[in-house]
Amino acid sequence: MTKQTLQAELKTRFKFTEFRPGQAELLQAILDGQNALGVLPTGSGKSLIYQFLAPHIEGLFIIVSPLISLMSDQLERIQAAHLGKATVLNSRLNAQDRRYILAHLADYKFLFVAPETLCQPQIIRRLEEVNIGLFVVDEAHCISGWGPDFRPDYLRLGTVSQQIKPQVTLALTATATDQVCTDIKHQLFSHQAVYIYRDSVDRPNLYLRTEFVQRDDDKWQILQQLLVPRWPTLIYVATRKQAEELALKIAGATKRPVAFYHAGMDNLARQQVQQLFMRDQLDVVVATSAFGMGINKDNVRLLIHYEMPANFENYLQEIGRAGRDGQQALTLIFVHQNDFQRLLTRQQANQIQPQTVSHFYHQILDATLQDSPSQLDVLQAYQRADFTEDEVIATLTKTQRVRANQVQQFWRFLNSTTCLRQQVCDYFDHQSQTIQHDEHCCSTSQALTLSELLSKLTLPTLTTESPTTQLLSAGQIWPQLFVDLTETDES
Amino acid sequence: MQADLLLPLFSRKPRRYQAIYYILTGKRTVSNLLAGLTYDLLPYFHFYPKLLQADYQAALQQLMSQQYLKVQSETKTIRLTALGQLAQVQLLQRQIWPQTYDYWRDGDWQLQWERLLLSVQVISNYQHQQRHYAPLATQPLVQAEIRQWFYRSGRRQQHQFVKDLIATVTGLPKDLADLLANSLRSNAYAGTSDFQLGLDLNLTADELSLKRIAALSQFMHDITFLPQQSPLRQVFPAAPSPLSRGAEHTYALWQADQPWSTIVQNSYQKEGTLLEHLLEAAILVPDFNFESLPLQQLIAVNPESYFAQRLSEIQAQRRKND
Repeated sequence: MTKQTLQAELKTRFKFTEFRPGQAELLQAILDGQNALGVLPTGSGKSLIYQFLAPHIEGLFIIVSPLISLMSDQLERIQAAHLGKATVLNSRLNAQDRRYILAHLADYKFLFVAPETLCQPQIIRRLEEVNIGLFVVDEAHCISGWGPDFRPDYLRLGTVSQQIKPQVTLALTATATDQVCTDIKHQLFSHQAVYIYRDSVDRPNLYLRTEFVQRDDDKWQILQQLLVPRWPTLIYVATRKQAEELALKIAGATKRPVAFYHAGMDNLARQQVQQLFMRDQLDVVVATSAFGMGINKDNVRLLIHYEMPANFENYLQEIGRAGRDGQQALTLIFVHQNDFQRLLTRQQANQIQPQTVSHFYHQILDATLQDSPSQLDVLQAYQRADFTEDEVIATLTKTQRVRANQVQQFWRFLNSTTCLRQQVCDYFDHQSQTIQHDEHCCSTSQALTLSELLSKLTLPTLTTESPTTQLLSAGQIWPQLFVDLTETDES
Repeated sequence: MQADLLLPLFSRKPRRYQAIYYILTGKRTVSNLLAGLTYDLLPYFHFYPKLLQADYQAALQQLMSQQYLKVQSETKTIRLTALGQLAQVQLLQRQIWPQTYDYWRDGDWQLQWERLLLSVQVISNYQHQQRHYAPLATQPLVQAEIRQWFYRSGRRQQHQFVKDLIATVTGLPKDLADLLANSLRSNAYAGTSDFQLGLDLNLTADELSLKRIAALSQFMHDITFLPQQSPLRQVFPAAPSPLSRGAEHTYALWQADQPWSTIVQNSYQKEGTLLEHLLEAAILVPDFNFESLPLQQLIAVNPESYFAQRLSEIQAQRRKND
């Protein structure tokens, strides 16, 4: 298919006039029957690629996703846009629903699946009986031990792909260094030819800002100043508790409609926050990293890291939530020595010790594993991926070293005085470009005060009426939900 | 989880805390069900299906450090202290604890909640001619059920659904009615975030969830007074048999007057398992006949057996509860 034909279809089916960089190239490669790897920046419309392909490739599309919240978001978007029948297979399903889905696989076009679920023998057996059109590995950087989000279950996807024999395989990620790309190619595509599209991670409409603080309370003072203009605002914090506490503090101190968002909330509550935020019924969301991959609000104008993330990859992924409409957005990260120390302490506390691995493999009762279901999950994932005890210890040692280096590297970035955007591009891009550093690029609070910056940036504020934060009574809600309330039974 | 919300599950008499955890998470064994019957907690079966053991233990630890609970390690039981009882009374006075909750009458509250949300969303969006939206239900079975229900309903039924819904919600105490109505949403009405609801009602996130279950269970109770053919009632399928599949099968054979020896002979399961099925029925079937001749004969085979002892305990407890 030519690019013009694809573009015409994009307009008819998706109401977009132009493809974003990489979309058309990847679509053409896949339609020519090639396997593909797309490294595209956040907000570049990765999911549109497989959504677009639905009428062009027969058979079921399997999309492997690392996060349950990500799967639910993608599923809802496909359902809302009526792009095809879609469902999810993951550990949260009960046995009855799981049986139902497996029995009705032929009815679905899109199947979102967690890697650990996909690797189960009975699921593979069932998928072997079905025609698989496209096998999509989303967030493919999770396959690499050099990435911060390494997931052992991802290592088995290459083997699974050989078993279920999809017509084409597509790997997608937003954050892959050269090393991670090599790992993806090796693990997922083995020796097959792969079309690769890599775009620069640079997002010129995002203003990058480091804000140095001496005390935790300084952050709150600065935040209050930032919350005065009515910009749709997303604030990242490190823990669920912090998300709840900061949301409460903002609700108490401002009139801005605010909510928190984290993985501890149930799906429907999370969906509600997303939808209210999308509709500008919420001005501010305080979230953990669970509010991330795949969430598509166009007009986030202000994105704040209340605490530092652990690496460039998470930082890039999270600032990518801002300015998806292409208009300017301010991303600001607080830099505080205590946050760095806290992060190091958390990382150390989460490290799995060789003795714990040994206890796990020899089925010896281990207090650490009893108290930490997440560590147990990790070890079970390695076991499912057929790692031996020694291999697990070696891999964990390597990933722990990688993570420690990444956090140090990111801390150096935060404390640097050279162009922040250039450093981000240098870290990720295969062929890094030279960034034109200007007043819309980046700054540190040491070089430019916040007031000066805010007077320079002209970020658009919300023009819609500010939503009320007062509850309606049941009697006020019915007429909004339903029409024809006065209709008689005979009508 | 918010620790004090566990207080209504305990009393001044010692209770096996692990059995209570299993009741809350819906682990069906005779031992757990019997504990539920004894502690009068059977309706709270499957009440917190996602509660993690670690979170439960942490909450108990906190309540103990607050001097609300006292543990007896050797019997693995916990009882309320006088201070804990006071806190329990104060909590119950706040009317956030779902007093009318009954798993055996209403089934899984999470599914019923999704049925309510989705049916309202579907009708509201249909009335507002909105066709593209993400369903407010995560369970494929619920989605399939509501889809079928919607396609079966004509305009008159949809109108009746709205009428019954409004009447039923209006009949609830005002705080529960407002909570329920503010939890509904569609493309036409965006609703309110749980955080905002909590702020306005002065409830924490965990208290809000609890009060929402209270509102739902009161609502489920009230719709049982609607005619059977009411479209609102049809959204919520009648609770299935309280028995597990195995126990239901064994109990059906038992009720059909099949001799016990034949039931045992024709089954691929061990006799002990089949006897446990009968014990499950003795706990959960409302009109279980403790005095039937075959049952008395079964007891007479070995009155000191686990089965006979447990059955006698169940009968005594049920008499007491009645």
